[in-house]
Amino acid sequence: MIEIRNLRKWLGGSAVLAGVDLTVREGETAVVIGGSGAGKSVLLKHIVGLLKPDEGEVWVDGERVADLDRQGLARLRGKIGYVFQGSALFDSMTVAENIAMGCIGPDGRPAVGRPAPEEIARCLRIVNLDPSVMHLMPAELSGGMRKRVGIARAVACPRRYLLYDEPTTGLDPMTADVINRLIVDLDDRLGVTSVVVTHDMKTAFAVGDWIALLHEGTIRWSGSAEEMSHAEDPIVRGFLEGRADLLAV
Amino acid sequence: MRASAAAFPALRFMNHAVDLAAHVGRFGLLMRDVVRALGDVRTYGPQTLAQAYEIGVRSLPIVFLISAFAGVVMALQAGYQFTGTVPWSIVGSIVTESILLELGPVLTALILAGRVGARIAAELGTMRVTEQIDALETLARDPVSYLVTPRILAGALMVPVLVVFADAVGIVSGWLAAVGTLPMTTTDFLEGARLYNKPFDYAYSEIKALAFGLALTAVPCYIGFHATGGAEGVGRATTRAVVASSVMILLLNTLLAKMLL
Repeated sequence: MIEIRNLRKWLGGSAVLAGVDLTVREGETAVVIGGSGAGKSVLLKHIVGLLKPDEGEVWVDGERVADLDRQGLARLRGKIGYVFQGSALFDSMTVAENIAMGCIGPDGRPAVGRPAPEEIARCLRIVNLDPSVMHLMPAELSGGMRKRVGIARAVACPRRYLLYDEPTTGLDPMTADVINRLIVDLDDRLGVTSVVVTHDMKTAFAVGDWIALLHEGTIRWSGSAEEMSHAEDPIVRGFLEGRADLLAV
Repeated sequence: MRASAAAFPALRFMNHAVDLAAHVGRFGLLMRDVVRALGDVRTYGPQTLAQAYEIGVRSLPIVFLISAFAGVVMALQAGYQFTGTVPWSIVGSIVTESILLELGPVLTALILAGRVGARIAAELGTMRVTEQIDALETLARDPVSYLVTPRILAGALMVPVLVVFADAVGIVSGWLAAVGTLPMTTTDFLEGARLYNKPFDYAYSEIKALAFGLALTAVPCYIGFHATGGAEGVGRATTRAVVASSVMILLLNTLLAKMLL
């Protein structure tokens, strides 16, 4: 379970997160939506310990992330797969080497030795990519393929949690749909707990068990997709209808 | 605070001083992490070999070129300056001592600050702004052990080796230029070369090379590692890395001359 309590973070002199409370239970897929610069990625980075809270707490599986030492953090990160907004593939490595970097032992230490090509092929098949791409460099891949390799790297070893940072940003609607289906499929097949941050409402509705709206540093609204479609909150409506005049309320 | 600083030079100076102190502190923390990472040979070992090849072997042509020209120019200038005043053998002394004590290590380091320093800052800066360094952390890899330690170790290992080549090429090219263009023989050149030469001169050249090797890798690593602001930020970091490491090399050069000579 992921629990975020009264999380506050100041960056560049302004409060990006101003008291966020959020609980994601085992097996759920939570979606956090919000405008650009709302602090969605900052929120996600706190879960995996890339950022430390200025105030408040983040708990994962009963451990307070800010209290973890280097080894504790490595162990925590071994349980969490993180899919970056721009994929963050290592430019100087092939697809196979990128995926191999995702192989982490249960103790949080990188796995010894290179994984077998069959293992890399298995990871690529999970994300519906042909194993022949394993020899390509990231620069030779399309945006959608890069995203999928990023996901393959995140699931290269068994994970309890998957965090997706804007998984469909910059993709055409068809490829975005492929990624959305992939997220749902992975959640079902691997039984992981997922947190997806996005500003793409289609993604939010397609993958989320429930949706939370991050606005002005706090969770303004949360509920199921069904509840969201009927919500009367002007900010929620602004997001649903893509109307800036409502967001300015 | 920043707005008032624009109006008051004293405040502006204070802001710069605080920024500088913050940089020094963060640089110190990074170096502490580099030392701590020395226990993690499994991570930095293979990377160090790759970096040593990149910094050492791939820099050889430019180091050869620069030191050859330096040797030739030293011989020609000494010939011009001392014609008819002192024995020709003094050209051998000037070429050998100038190359060993100053030009070999300093020119090599300054060239490498451009070639290697810029590459390190651009690489790490790009990895920072494209979240590749964050990705390393989420994949339970220590980015310092994986990226910074190998580059600094490779610099500390390879720059002294490059300086040995630079010294040798500089002296040989100076000798060839001297006997080819001035009315002197190889015996004159060797006599002069031996006149003021001390074993410590070689050690001094290598001590400087080691210090420069650390500076021209550690400073760009720090600047690239903390780059922000997309492509423009990487460009800014690269320029700053070359300038800062060059200044650091000149500063160390002065300090070492004062301390060791």
